[in-house]
Amino acid sequence: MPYREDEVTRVVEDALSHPVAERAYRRVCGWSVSELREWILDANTKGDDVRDISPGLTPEMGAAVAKLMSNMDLVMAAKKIRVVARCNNTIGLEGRIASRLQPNHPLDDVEGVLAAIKDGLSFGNGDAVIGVNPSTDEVSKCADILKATKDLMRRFRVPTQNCVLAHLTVQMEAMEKHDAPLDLMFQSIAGSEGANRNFGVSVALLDEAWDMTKRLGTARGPNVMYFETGQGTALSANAHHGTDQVTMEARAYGLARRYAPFLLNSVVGFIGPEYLKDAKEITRAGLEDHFMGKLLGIPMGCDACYTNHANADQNDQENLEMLLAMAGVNYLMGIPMGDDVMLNYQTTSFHNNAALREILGLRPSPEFERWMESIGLWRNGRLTARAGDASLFAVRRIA
Amino acid sequence: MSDAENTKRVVRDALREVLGDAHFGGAHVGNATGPVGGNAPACADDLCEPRYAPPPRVRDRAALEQLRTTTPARIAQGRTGTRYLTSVYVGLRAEHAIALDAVHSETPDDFAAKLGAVALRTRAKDKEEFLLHPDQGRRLDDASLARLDTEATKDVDVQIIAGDGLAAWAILRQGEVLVPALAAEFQRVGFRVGKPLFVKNARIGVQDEIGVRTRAKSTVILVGERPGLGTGDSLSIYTAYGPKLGQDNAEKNCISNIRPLGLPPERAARECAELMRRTFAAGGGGLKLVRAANGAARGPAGAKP
Repeated sequence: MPYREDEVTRVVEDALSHPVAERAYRRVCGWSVSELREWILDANTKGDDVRDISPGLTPEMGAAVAKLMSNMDLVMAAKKIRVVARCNNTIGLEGRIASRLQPNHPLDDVEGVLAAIKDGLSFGNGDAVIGVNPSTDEVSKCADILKATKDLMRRFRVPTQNCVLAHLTVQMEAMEKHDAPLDLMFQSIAGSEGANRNFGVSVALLDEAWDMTKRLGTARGPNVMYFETGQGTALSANAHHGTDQVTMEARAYGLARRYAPFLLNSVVGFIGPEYLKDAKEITRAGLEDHFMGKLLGIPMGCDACYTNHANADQNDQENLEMLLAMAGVNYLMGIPMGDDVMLNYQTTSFHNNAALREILGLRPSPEFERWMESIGLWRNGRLTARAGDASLFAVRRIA
Repeated sequence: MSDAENTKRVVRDALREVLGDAHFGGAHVGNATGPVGGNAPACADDLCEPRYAPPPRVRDRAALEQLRTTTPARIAQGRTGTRYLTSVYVGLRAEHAIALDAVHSETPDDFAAKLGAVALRTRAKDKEEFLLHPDQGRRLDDASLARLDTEATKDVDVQIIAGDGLAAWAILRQGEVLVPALAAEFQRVGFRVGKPLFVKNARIGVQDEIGVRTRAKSTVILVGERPGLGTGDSLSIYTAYGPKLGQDNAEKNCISNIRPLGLPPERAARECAELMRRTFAAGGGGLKLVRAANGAARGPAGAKP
């Protein structure tokens, strides 16, 4: 995609001229893709070694090496690459897995949103973010949800981040004109200028939103951005310039690098069967996205999901989340029983996130783990008998 | 009874048994914190003791019930270890089966006639092609184009199009009420409407080609929404003013969740007529109309990509 015609290409190529990126590039520029693959998988190559060359890799190279890997290669390679990010708490550390609590309500009813949050917290979900998809683009509604979620976080001293996944102009207006407390700024992005135009964003607008969040946002940072992506988005916007969907997805991560995000997840099964035909393709794409993101230095999560018009079911979804947890994914989604009653699709549940920790001996983010211990939800590396009871939070404060 | 109908009956009976009649078809499944296998019948083997597990500890049962009333999300469903209770798990499987049935449901050949509509179909030759190749569902096949030219009314204000979309059940259950209600409401507001059209294997975008070809000032298309768990009868209406091929969704408006338990068809028809009245007054729909209503600049929705 030519430098002159596409600003995502310009973001990626301009970043390569940074001295750190240039040094990294010089180390790998003579390698074949096969050599890169074998070097990543070599037992003597540590995660930090991969992180060192990461700034010198273009997204196209990330996609190329992913294509030469089997599913097990993708798990093995991603497992060694840890990308730690910090906001109000820390995610991405070895031996830990976090979740985005996604308490959506079809009418954006604030009490309903809060009820789902309480249910999720009681299962130890929500350390990546409490992130609500609104059903409308009303600024006042966005501000109301930000205020209500922040109020709940303050009352119960929950060490996490809040976010409303509206268009970024709506969130900016909520911060500026409604004094809404916002920790993470969200936006859907894709791998070309045209696809981003379809989302109503540009690099200039993303820059402006990032800058405003650093100034007006309530988070400690330094990582304050949250992106969602997904294979097929550029193709569905007919803005892929004949390029395949794996490469287009990697290019979205190339753009995201500019903003040092706290979270980025591919919404891997949401696009529908025209781009990911069935469970086999969704599984493959989820593992590719997670590996490519980590390789390019992104603190990757995943929305391991499916829609009801794709040939996939709950078992397929659980298989993918188990593989991703083995691969060291930073976070997954957490939804009551995995059923999003606003967006009408199924993804990871509060229960499943708790089960993954139990199966693989994984723990929450450290700040969140201490909080769970302090209110009696977590002891000796596992949930207590108190867990799974939302009425724990049906009080003004927990003593 | 066909195999498909038989399967559907078995699944529905199982669902009714698990959820109870009161909850059948609703969003809530299972009992919040009930005992695991609480009402299990006595064991067939007398030496085997039935297992009555105690319900999980709940700090404030009344508060939990109150929380449940605030959302259709499946909260407070209990647990065994970190896994689902059996009744909840089985209910989810059954509801997924219903959603799949909705996606694969078909309209019978005489359905267009029941609507008093011209029968058309897209280039998608069957359900699988329709699901895997959305573009095929946005264009009419050659025979349908010819029929459109000879049988459809031309130069109307609003052309009503019914389609199956991602769940034919939705139009099957509500089309015969909604299509005449829409025609009546449009005429009451003073719009000229043509003979309705019915399109099999239809995506939203097929309204563009129809609008252009019939020189309609605007079109509305009714399509079944992608089903959520346990649903499949929910319709959306997409309105498009000033038809052109490949018209962006940002230039269209949508009225969604039309179903007996959501927005009733009669009310949806009234809302749609009012929406079209405002669209004609503003000289366009979509974001233009939203901006006109809010007096504020807005971007397109930024939900899941």
